[in-house]
Amino acid sequence: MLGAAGCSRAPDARQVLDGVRSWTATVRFAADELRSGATTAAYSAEIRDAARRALAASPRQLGDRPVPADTAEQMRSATDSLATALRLLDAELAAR
Amino acid sequence: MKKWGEIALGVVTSVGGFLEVGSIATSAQAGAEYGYQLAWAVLLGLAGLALLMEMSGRLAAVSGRSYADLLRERFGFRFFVIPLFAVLLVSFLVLASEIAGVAVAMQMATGIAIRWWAIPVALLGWILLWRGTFSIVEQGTAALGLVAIVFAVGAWKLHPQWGALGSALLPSNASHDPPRYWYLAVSILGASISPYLYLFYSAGAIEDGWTRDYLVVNRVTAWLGNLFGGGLNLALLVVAAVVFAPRHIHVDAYEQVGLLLTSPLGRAGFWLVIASLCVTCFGATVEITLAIAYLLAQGFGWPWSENFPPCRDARFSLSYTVAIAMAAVPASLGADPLALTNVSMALTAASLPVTVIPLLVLMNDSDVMDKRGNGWATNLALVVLSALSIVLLVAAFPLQYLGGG
Repeated sequence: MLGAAGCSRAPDARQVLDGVRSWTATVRFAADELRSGATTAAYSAEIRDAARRALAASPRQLGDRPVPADTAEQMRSATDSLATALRLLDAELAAR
Repeated sequence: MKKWGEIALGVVTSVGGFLEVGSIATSAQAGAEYGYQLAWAVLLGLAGLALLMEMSGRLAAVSGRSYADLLRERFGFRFFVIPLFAVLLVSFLVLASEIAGVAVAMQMATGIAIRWWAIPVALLGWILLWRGTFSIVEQGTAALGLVAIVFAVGAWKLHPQWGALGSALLPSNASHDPPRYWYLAVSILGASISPYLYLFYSAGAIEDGWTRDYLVVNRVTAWLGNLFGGGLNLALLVVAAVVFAPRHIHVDAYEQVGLLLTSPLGRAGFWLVIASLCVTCFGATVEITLAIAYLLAQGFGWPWSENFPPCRDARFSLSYTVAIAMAAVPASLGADPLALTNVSMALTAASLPVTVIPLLVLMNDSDVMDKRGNGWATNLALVVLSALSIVLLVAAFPLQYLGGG
């Protein structure tokens, strides 16, 4: 029963892409809120670390399944955006 | 006057009952991914839980025995073993999720990792149970749980579209990804209608010495309390719908929840979300631990009361000690708190038939209920709820597979 409850199918390429985009939006939002003084540096570092884990996990989630060329291109662009957002949040954290 | 005080207290206590790690996670996920669309699931969960709590409270007030006690007595021990194991398994997973919820809140506040908080949280809960009485446990956590009103304040300040929210109180087809939509609906129902809630409520009625004189208190507490707790849960969904959905933020980790109220309330909103997560999950931790001990003690006929010193009900005290200690293990080993919550909510939904359907029999047993059994309207509502529980049992695992990713 527990095993059955713990099972879920592997996310498809579109879901992985949505996940990466969601983390990009989260990191940007967290950077804005840190800049405005609404959150703390410790909390923003948690968000950064969680986003990094998501970024590292995305190729694993896709596995060896074939991905349509346009989705692969969108994925590259999304991961680049997330990496950029993470660099900006890092810079914001370093300034504190 | 004393009874009205008890009603007020019962209403406040319902915040801790309704708003906990499961409802926070599922409502935030639902609001972020589907806007207001799943508001109906919160409303259905609210009505279902209020119905079950009112009946289990009435059962206890009229018969002088708890629901678990009567389950064993009227259906026999062989049958009782089924709900016993189902509820124990589900409650243990939910308890582990609640401890992880407090640990997540502490991590967000301090930056110190979740795994370091799980054991101190369990220890604090155990000390409260070991040293405290039922009223201290119930009232202490309830008073602190009022901090969750911040979600209603946040939702109000965000100026939601009231018309769209009103339309979403009736079920509609998914705007996208139907398996995920229905999976979230099942999880919201699992988070709302947890068996531990009505088993705890029934045992609490015995602890508080309810008699037939308390039937009005019971009815008002069950409905008004759930309306209050469910309203805050709905407010949380609205906040996620207004803050996260337009930014295309999905809740994939608890850490993201910290951003829910920074837009309307600034830094205060950030700290109040953390406080709400911490306090409501801690309240639920203590209540579920007690519910597990109540179930075991009532099922096996041991002496039990949170008001007794531990030496008078040693097996009851040992039960909650072991339960809370074991439930701290997953978070202290680094289990993903959100994954743990999602699995436990789906399992909770699947476990409902074994505790909902027997209630239909007990509420119509004149030996137990005398003339205070169900009327046709409450029976009809319970039949609908029983049918829904069977649908949830059948649908929970396929939906977890298709939409739980």
